[in-house]
Formats: sequence, structure tokens, C-alpha cells
Amino acid sequence: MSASVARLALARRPWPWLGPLLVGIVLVAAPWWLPNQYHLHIAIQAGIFAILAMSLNLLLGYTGQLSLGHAAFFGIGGYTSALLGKHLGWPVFVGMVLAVVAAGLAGYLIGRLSLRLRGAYFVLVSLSFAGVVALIAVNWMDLTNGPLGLPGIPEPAIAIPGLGEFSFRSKESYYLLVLACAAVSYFVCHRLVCSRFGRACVALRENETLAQAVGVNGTRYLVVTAVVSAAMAGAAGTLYVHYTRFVSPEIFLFSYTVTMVVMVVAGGKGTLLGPVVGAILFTILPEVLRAVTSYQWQMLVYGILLILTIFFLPKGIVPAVAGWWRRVAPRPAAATRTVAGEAEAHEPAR
Amino acid sequence: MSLRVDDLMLRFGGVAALAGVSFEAASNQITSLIGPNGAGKTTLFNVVTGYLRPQRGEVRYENASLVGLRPYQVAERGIVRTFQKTSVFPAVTVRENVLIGLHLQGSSGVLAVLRGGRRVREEEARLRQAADEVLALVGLAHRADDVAGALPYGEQRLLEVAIALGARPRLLLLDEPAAGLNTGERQALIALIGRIREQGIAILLVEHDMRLVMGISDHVVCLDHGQVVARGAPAEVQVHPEVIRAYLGSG
Repeated sequence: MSASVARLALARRPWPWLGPLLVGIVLVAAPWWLPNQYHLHIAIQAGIFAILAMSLNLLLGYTGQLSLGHAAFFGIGGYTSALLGKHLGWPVFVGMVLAVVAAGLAGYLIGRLSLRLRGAYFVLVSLSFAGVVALIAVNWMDLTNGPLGLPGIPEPAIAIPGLGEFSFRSKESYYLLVLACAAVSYFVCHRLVCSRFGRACVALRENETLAQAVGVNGTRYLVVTAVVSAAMAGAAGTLYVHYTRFVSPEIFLFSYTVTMVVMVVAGGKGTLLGPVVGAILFTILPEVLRAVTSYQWQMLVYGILLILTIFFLPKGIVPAVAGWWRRVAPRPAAATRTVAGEAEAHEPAR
Repeated sequence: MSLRVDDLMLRFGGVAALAGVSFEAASNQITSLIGPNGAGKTTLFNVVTGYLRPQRGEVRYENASLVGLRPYQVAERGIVRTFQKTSVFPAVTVRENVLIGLHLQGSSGVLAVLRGGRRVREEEARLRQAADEVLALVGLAHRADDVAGALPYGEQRLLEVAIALGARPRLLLLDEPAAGLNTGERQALIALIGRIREQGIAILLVEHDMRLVMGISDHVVCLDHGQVVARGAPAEVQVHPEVIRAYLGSG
């Protein structure tokens, strides 16, 4: 699509739903336009990471609380449905729902423990929680099979009355399942952020003392956000293990949390689209680098690109593009819809 | 009598920030707290609004104790404050700032918000209208879509008052609202305080600008070294020997 066409469409905005609809069609059609199964595999990973990044962004971007233990909720979600499906033979979709619930409960526990004090305390408690859960997964051999992990996790399947059973064994169907879950996650974030709830979260991030003075119960909002965020990470976890059909304590690796933080910060924290864009770019980037450079250079180039992104776009990719767009295609103020927390791009003076 | 402070005591180490302060602030009146720097005025604000807990004494509002409540619970009881240092939500728009102030006027919880529906949309529309009304009252309607952090200082101070008004206080505590304002801005503030009072909102004001205080107050309380040294009508307090001593020294 040429830039001028897009500009005209946005300037008048006759059909505000047109852009999202087109993006939706392109995404749903991906199994048919992606050249092969390898690309589809990357698309599935990007979708799972997009859910993770959105979940972390709820806390980090909107309330300003950094969870360095987000891999714990990812792993709890993964292990819950894996164990229910493998040991108890429960239907996978029931296990998946319970995985989301279990991760949410863990989020509640951590939130209640640490969000009264928040800030550094929350960072430390979430980090240690991830360490503890990982140790349990490694050492409780009877339940988790320890570091060897659990192979043979069933794929999700639904029984359609009259049509028989449909299983999500193919990459095409699994991609659509992940895409649907990512869309639901985005919808949840959108609803929360553009509401009284989201405003309270942003108020706590921006100026907690003042937020309390006008009646915002800080701890309550932070705990509820932690529950939603953890539940969403749990959903990503359960999608991940039923895709790879295997789970091991590696799911709790700190590097997963770091990847999430990178995606949120580089994409643009405190924006709805930032984590999605970050997740897509930083899932594709390592694969591209693997194709074009030798092993030794991969991580080095990845690191340099990350540093350059943060250095030149300190607020992230999405706010930078949005700010540039506002300058190129000025619209009347009435049409500009501001989302709580989506700050005007005020570049710090350099 | 609306707000009643009785024998408040609060020490920070060896310093008695409040050493037995008692006074009353009547509803529908403007009560001003004056006194030199370090007299305990802001500490008193912090105790009344739940940011600090007194070691002794009692704060009662409409016959219910406020001691031990957290700041958001004090706000729920209709007591809202502003801060001495400029305090807004800098990264969001002016309208969003006031919408945050209107937090207690809404009731949608997380589940209602996720479900959406007509009730939530209606509440949102109602809050937006209320926010615009508050902005019109303080004279910031033309700034509604600007980012709060980009406003000039004087307008940020007005926005602080707008945020507090959003919370629909029955008692509004203003901590040095005129500090740093130029003459025009100060006149606008005085007019605004008059309009707030016309709405039946009681005001407790901490302010160093004596002309402003003496011009608008119904009742003035002078603090020095954590104690009330004088109280009464502005004209009486102005010439009270203890007040003059507190400000000028006894040399």
C-alpha cells in the first residue's frame, strides 16, 4: 500500500475499522500466504510471545511495576495443563483454562505478597518466585520428571457434535488458535486500558501520591493487574507446551523474561500495539540473523540492533512511528483519540 | 463543625512537627493555616489526609475519626487535597488528568470493564462530560487535549485544583496554591476559590501570601513550632502579637 493512500484514508477516517479489518484478514490468511511450515512455526512463536509481551506490558507499561519473574507464570500455565492432560487425562481445553486460572492465582499470591510495598520489592519477590518455582519443577521428580521434562503432551482437540473430533495437530490450525488467543489478549488489554480501570493504573504509574489523594486504592489495582497479567502469561505458557508437545524446567529460564522485557521496551511500553510489534520483530530478527550471518555473529548483531533501537527510539518503536505519523499527517484535535498512557511523543532533549 | 483536629502530636526524631494542635474548620467556610516555614502546616495536611499517622490526638470529620485511614479512604469520605509541589499526571492529557480525579465518581470494576456494554459506556460518557465541566470551571477547557506535562507552571497549578475538584470534595485542602503564580494567575486563583466556595465546598488553605489569605478567609489559624499561637477572624489574627512575633522574631 502506498503511503499517500494510507495518509488520505487516515486523514478523513471515513471507516476507522478498515485498517484493523485489513490487518485481521492478512493475519488470518497467513497460513495461505506464508511460503512454508518453517515460516508458520515462526508466526506461531511470534503469536505466543505477543501474548507474553502484552501481559508484561499491562504491569510494566501501565502500572510501572517490573515483574522479573514473568517466566514463572508462563511456566505455571505450561506445567498445569501439561500435567492435567498427561497424568489425569483431562481434556486439553479444560486443562488450558485451568492453566490460565492457576497462573492467575499465582499472580494474586505474588501481588498480595509484594505489591503493598511495590517497586524494588515487587521486582525482587517476582524474581525469587520464578527461582522457587523452577527449583520445584527440577526437583519434584515424581510429578514433573525433573530436568528431563515431560514429553508426549497431547495436542488440543475439540469434539464437534455430529462432525467428529477436530484436533489442532497441524501448524495451520495451531497458528489460528494462537492468533485467536492473541486477539482475545489484545481485546482484554484494550478494554482494560481504555477505561476507568486503566486510568487508575496509569495514575499509579505517573504519580501514586496524587492518585491516592483522589481515592485510587493503589494496592487493589496493582493486585488485580498482576492477576490479569499472570493469567495472560499462563495462557501463553499453555499454548506453548501444547505446541511443542514437551515441557521441561527450561520454560522458567530467565532469558524468557528478558526477551519479554526487550519486546515490551523496544516495541513501546505503555502502548497497546508496542508489545505486539516488539514481539513480532524480535521473534523474526534472530531467525533472519541465523540465515544471513554465521553463528558467532548472531547474538552480537542482535545486541547491537537492540542497543541502537533503545538509543535512537528510547520510547520504543510504536510511539516513535506514531509521533512521526502525527507530524506527517496532522489531523484536527477532535479526531485524535488518546489512549490513557499513550503519551505524546516528547523526545527528551539531547 | 465540620473538620475537628484535637491535640495532634507528631515528632520526627527530636523535632516536634506537631505539638498538640487543636482547631476546627467549619463547613461552608474558608479556613486558612498560616505560619512560618517549618511551623507544621504541611505535616498537619499529611496527618489529616492519612499520609502520616499522628502519635497522639484525633482528627474527626463529621463526627467520624480519620486517624488510621489510608489516603484513598480519606478521599472516599469527601476530603481531597492538593500538594505543595506541583503534582499532576504529566504524561497524559489534561482531560485524562481530570478523569483520573473523577475516579470515585465511577463504579465500573474490572469485570464490568471487560464485559463492556451500555452501562460502562454511559458511565464513561458521563465522566467525560463531568471532566469537561470541571475544566470549564477552572478555565482550562482550551487545554483539554494537551499533555499535562507540557503546560506552563501556572496552568499546571490550576490543573491540580481541577483534579482535586474532580473527586467532588466536600472539604478541599489546598497546600500553597498561589506559590510561584504571577499577579494575573493569582487573581484567577482567587476568583476560582470563590467559585469553589459558592458550590458549598469548605476549604482549608495553607498559604504564605498574606494579602490573599486575609482577603478570602473566614477564619485564620496561625501555627508556630507545631502549636496554634493564634486563631480568629483575619483582622484579629493579622495584628495578634504572637503572629507578629512568629513571623518577625522577638528581637
